[in-house]
Amino acid sequence: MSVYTRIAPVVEIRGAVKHYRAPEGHLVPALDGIDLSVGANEFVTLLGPSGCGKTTLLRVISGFEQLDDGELLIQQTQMNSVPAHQRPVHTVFQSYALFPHMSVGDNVGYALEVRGVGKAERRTRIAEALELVGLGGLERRKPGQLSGGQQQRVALARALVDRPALLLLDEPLSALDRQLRQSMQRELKKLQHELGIAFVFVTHDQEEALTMSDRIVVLNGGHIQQIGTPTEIYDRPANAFVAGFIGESNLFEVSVSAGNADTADLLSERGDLLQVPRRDLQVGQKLQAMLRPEQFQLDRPQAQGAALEGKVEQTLFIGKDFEVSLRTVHGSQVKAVIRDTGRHDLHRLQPGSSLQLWYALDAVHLIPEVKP
Amino acid sequence: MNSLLARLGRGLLGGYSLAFFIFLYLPIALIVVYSFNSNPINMMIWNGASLDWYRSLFGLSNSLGSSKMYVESSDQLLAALRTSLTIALSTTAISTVAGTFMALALARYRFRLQGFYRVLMFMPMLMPDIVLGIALLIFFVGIGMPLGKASIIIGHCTFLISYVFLVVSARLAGMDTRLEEASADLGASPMHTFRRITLPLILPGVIGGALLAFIISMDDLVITYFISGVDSTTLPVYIYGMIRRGIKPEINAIATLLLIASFIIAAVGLYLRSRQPATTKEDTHG
Repeated sequence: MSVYTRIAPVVEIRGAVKHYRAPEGHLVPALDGIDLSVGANEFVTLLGPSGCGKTTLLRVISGFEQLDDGELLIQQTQMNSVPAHQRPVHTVFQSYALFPHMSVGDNVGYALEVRGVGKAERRTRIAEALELVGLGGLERRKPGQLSGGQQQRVALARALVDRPALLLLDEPLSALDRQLRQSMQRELKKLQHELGIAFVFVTHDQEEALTMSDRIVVLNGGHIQQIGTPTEIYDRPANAFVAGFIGESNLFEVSVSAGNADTADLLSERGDLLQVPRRDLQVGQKLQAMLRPEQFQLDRPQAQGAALEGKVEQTLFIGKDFEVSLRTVHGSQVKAVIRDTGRHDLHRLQPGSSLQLWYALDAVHLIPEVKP
Repeated sequence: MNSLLARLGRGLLGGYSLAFFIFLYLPIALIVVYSFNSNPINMMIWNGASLDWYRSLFGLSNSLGSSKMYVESSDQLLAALRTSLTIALSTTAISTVAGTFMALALARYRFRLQGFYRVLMFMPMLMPDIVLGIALLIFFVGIGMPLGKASIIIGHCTFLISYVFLVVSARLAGMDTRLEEASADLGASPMHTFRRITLPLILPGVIGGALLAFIISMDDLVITYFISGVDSTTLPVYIYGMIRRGIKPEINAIATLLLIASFIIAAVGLYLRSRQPATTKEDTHG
């Protein structure tokens, strides 16, 4: 995680609205009132399930889609109707879109060629850009002769060769295998930090978003669900959608049943009882309470804690940790991830045995009920 | 038992295939063989090899003696070939440019009645030649345009644009539109994108369409027959005329030469296609 200092925004989007016409004829909103600004050296990720509007938003910024309503500013200039080739923005496409009839060198130098940069200068800057992505010396190859990972790097070099103000990345890692993807994630992050160029990265992979971003924009149904740093999004999701989409979570529909001096009791719809610090909760108030699987432990915590009790239904070794499915006495299903490095507690995790899952009271995250 | 049946089946299939290809190619092979037959009376009776018919085609002296009729016919033949080449080259140039741009317009822009225009582009190809020929004749006569090379060129273009359109459209359909977006994204104007990205990638289709147009124009008889004037006899029309006056052995020689020319053009087309990536989409995904 890096500490990010905000400077003047390179992109500002205000009240963006974009509709598509469905095959049946009616209009479907792809963007429904989006407000967003991206700082000049910021790594922002647009995260959401497919059809959430993230790719549309990216294509609005790159100029391949026009807004129906709202405003788009790039470097403080209104760009709503400026054609794509006149915007100081480059894109790394999901399919890489390398020009198959040109050499790697000509691909990388394309943006320079278009601007009329001389051949000699072009050659040095192509070499620099390829060096930057670790592909020095491959100028003469054709894209078809490269592996998927190498093509990915060529696409990146091509988009960075003339240092655009903003780089857009449309799920660029989705075609790579897991290991390559993870090393590319770190490399991209490092590259962005070194170049100081704003990156807007689109993905549906929440792990990828958490790993790489300064800020994450969670989108669903054309609306922004939450904007925040990875830890903010993970620890304090704004609503049930974000809680469910980012990481695993146990969500309880609860109402405040009693308030003590410094704690409050929350009664779930099924009858499970949760305890949280008092804060400013009113008795009768309806809420959603969230606990991450890794926030459970087998023994009473040092801090003030409470437990859910039930029977183990299933225990899976998921590598490093154990994933335990617990059915509470009231019938709710609770998922917990238990670390048992010494393998001392295995007998307690046997399916069928009774188990108490403890949590610290202040680990419970409360989401105010918002009825649409 | 099973293997016996399988062997029998394979044998039958092989025999059938052989018969099919004999049926297809034997007449053509006979024409080539008899074009070298020296028998001047009956061309179906082999009388020893000779190049006389080729010589006579080009007006060279041959064992038949230099009778007036042969010299005349060879002059007419060469004139007909020249007319055909002029028409085919003009038609190819016009229909290639027009067909390519129509394919681009229909593939890259969204507009009202798009599907309708696409159908309109296919129609001339499906139309019976005889209908097109009569329609064109009536049209040219109606507007008072004299029949000649110009009317044939216009007539050929009406349906050859469709062929080019079809071939180039197929190529465009296999091209990833993201490549053009990537070009624009990197700052290239639409003109630059066309010159550096779109055109090189569809060029095999454009050349293929041009070769097809050339061959069809050289070969067309029915439509040309209706709209050619007295001074604009094309090669197919001339050959047709020769046959009506009785089949002469030179026809075998002409057919053989046309066959060789077609093979060369087809070979060039195939070579050009093999040099380019088959579809650009495969390449970008690798």
